[in-house]
Amino acid sequence: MTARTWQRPRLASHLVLGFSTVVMIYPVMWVVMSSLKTPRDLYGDPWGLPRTPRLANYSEAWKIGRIGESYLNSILVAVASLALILVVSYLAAYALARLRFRGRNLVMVLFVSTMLLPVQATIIPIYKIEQSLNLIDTLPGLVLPYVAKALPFTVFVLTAFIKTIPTEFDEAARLDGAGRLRILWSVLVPLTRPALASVVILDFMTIWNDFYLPLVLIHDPARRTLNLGLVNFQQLWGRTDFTRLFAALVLINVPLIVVYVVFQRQFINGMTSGGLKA
Amino acid sequence: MKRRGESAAAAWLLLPALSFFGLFIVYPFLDVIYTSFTSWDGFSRPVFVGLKNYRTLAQPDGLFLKALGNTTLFAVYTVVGKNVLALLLAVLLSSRLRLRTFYRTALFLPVCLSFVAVGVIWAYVFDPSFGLVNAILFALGKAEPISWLGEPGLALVCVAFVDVWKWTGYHVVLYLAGLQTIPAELYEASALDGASAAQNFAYITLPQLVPVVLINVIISLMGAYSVFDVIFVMTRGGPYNSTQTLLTYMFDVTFREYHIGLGATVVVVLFVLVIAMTAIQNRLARRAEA
Repeated sequence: MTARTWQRPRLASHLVLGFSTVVMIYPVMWVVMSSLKTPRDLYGDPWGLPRTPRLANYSEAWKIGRIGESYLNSILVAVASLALILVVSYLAAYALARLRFRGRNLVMVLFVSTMLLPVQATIIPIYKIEQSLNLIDTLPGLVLPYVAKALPFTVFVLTAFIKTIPTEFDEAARLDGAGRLRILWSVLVPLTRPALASVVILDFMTIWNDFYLPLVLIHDPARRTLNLGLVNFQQLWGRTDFTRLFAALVLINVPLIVVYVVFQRQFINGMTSGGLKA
Repeated sequence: MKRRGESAAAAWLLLPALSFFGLFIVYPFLDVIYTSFTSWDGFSRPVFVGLKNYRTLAQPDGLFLKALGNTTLFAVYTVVGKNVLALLLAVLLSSRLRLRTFYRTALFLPVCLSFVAVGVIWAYVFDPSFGLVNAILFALGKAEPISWLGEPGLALVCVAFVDVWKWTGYHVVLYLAGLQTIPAELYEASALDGASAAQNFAYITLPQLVPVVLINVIISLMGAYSVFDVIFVMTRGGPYNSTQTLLTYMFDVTFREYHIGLGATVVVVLFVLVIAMTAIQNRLARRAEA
């Protein structure tokens, strides 16, 4: 908008943006196309369309990669983590935004300063803790560290957003006899829906796409998440079975791509909310 | 009276968050620091060894310094690549262009893919026997296939390229948000003076964007120093450790060689680097505001 007064050759803009778009999208389309080929077709003609689409790649990949099981594990972990993150963070954010108490700034500083810690950094003690709690090779063993990792950022965003809501809303509800939890649930939660959407998307994507924690904490094939399954598939079959590996990749990623394209505005806002708030 | 009620309520409301935080963030953080002063194989009792692990890391021909060097080189490639590209694309996208939303959607797509998927895709795009890159070179008349991920000099450039590919769209969105905050009057005034597009960029856009550039640089810098996934999937640190980075080295030392104390020491060095970068960023941001 602001740059509308610029006299810029449009053609050059379209060329640069168009070329970048091709570089971003073509590799993904190439994988989708290759996932429908026979291995010989792939070697003989890496560029072309599949001669006769081989859908069996998909059913075979689904079976070999145990993708059904992995989907279930990934969904369970993501849903349980998100539910816990939202409840725990909202309670904390409400306290930080609305109540006056000693140590409030200290808690805030603690959260903010650990926001950028990479999840890989504390893997050794997390392994030890989970060993002593018998959580290795279990899904709760993934959920707990994910919740902890997501907390600082989620609390930070929610606190900032609750602060923008005038306290008159709280007062009005209090006069009607509502308690704190009642106010939180029926007044604040509906008003903070945009912030909730952002944190849900960012936290979901971080958890869904993570494979470091499963790589270290999960050894049982029946407990694998999708991305860990894909790495395993690649290591076992990646040198011999390209077409099925590509089929597995499509099965794992395409649902997410569809969701992204449908909800792109919310996705882009959510995924960049960390950077914009910084 | 009311005050005390608020403190008690706050304590209850914060209790769940602080329990998670204490058990899975604060305690592990302190434990890593302690572990870095011990020698431990994961089975027997840890033995306190003082600074021995730190001295091991400092060995002049050791793998750690190589990994630190690789990581720094990776950081230079990706921070420059992501920010230059993203700023260029964001400036182009900020005008009223047809297909604008389409371009933005496409550029942001890789951000939503998992790094595992991205690594797998690009490992095959770079494949020497049927990968796309060699196919393009072949079409252009170059007969010798190049082993992109198999050459020590090339592999780090390739994984850096893939990282840039994945994250450029993310930075484009941040830069676009920054561009929208520049007051239009500045451009209107310069149009009256007959300024060119290049002059507009150099004298208005860039100076106005300094705080946004800083945020983008720090985000990409932190990301670069904690890189793991893309390298683990594409090269595993090879060939000949030429793509070994801080966290892939830490993973090998800890989970392959069971030198857990040494692995913790690598993490402590990473902590120090991250804290130093945050401090520098804070200082620069304050100066930019002043």
